[in-house]
Amino acid sequence: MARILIVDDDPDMVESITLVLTGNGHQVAARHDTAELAAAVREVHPDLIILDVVFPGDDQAGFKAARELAADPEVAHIPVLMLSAVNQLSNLGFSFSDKDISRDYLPVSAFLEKPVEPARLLARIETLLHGG
Amino acid sequence: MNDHRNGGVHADDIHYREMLGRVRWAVRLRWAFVAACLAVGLFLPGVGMPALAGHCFVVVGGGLAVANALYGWLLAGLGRRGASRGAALRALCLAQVAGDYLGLSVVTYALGSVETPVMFLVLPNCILVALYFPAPQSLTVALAGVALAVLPLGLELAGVVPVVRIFGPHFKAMILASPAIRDSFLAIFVLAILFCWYLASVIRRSLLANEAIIEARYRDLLALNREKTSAVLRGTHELKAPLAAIRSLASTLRDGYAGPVSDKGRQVAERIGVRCDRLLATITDLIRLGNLRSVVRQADSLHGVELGRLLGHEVAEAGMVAGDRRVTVSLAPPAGPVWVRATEDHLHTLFGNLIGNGVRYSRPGGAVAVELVTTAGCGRVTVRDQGIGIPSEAMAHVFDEHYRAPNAVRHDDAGTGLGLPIVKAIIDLLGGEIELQSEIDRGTVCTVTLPLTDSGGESNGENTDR
Repeated sequence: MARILIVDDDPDMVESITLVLTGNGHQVAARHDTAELAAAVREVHPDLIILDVVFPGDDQAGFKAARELAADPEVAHIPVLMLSAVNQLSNLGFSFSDKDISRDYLPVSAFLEKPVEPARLLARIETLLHGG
Repeated sequence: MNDHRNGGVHADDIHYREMLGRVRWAVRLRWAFVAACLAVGLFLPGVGMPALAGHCFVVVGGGLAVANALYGWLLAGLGRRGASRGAALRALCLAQVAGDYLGLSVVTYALGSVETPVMFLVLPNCILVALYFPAPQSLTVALAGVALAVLPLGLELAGVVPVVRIFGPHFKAMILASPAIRDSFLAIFVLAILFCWYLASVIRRSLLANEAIIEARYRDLLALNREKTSAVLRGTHELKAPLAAIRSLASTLRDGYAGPVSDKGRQVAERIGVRCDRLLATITDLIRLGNLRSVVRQADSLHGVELGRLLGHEVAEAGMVAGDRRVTVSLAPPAGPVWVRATEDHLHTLFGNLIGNGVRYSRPGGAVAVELVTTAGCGRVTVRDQGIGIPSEAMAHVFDEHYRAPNAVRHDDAGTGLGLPIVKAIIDLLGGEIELQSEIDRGTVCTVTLPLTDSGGESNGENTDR
């Protein structure tokens, strides 16, 4: 069972994911913003981070946080699953899909678009936890 | 990376294209002059004019024909390049003007510059120069033209070359009557040229000023449209985020993560999820349509895509859904690769929609046949189904947003009514055409034609904005 950190400003989304993850035996911690995320990650020691993209006041907060985490040698090894309603079509100045994942642009392990079925979310998390 | 940047057209490019257009027009005009020269050259000796005049016209006409063919060839090369070739284009303009002046000097001489006011033939060229070049430069070139036009007369009067008399020895040339008349004629000639140059320069300045105003307005409109599109898309996205949360909560409830749930409760959660999915599909289509109609996404991101391979994927993908409905989907592949200028995402949306419609509106046991052929510089994709068809009165509205034919709603009430408007927007963006033929209860044939491109090539923009 893994320790998972959810970073999402939407309490309903956090609640929903938390129920699914705890229901499958995982430990969950949550944060509602990306401020000092690397410090929070060092404190929680998660095996996986689920990260949203758009936060109040900054459409790219999750994007920036992913880059900061990737640049921090202490936490860079932790897989990040980006989970966002932003997709290729959103036209908010950027857009994400699995094809966009790269060390320079989108340094995360996987991308999933909200909403996601619990089974699909769990399958992707299992893959990431086992180094996939 | 889908970084959204502007794919606008540069002002330099606009001016370069405009200049190219003017030079092409001048080349076409010159062909008329060449034809006139050759016709006159062959006709003059027949009406008793000196043979020299006829020869001169033939030589000038022939020379200009060769030069004009060369100009046309060079222009075709310059047309394929961008504004970076502006200096070469200006040099070509100067070469044309100089060539024309020389030709006109010879013609002026041949037609008897002392007996006729033929040197005024230089006038259209001076106007052309004033349209081609900015004022100081055009004045210099126009004055050079005046000098070349007057040169035959000067050389004749100085006795350097023989005086050409086309009207016979008894004709009294006015210009030879007295030095005062000669000087007056030359002064009128120079003043007339200068006046015409001035008028053309003023017109050019006025045209350029108007162009600048139109360009500024166009940029304002682009900015306004970007702003509007961004606001609409942001609003649409704001709808999507809470809906995604509702959908997730419904799934959580349905799957029992929030505690035991009765069968009825599970059904209700499932229905909430289905309604959310439909709304999400509508929002996704609205975002897609907004993006397609946004002027920020222009042709910069288009590149060569192999259509046959892409259709293979689409048919395989649609086949999975079609299997559940007992509908078969087949592809008749082309003989070889078919490259069109697009993005994979555009084509995926375009043909995913069309083949998906074929499956959706087919009855169990039906078939959807997809065919790709090349014809006259185009790739033509035909999607043929045996489904419910489109009523004739609905055909005029199928590309309208949110329109769904009554029989389509009865057959399947889950559509957004945005699929075909999206298809049309993509085809417009790619410079293609779409044609629908349908017979109620017999099926629909949808034919999409897209221009072919030379090869796969690489994406020509530094970013691949969808």
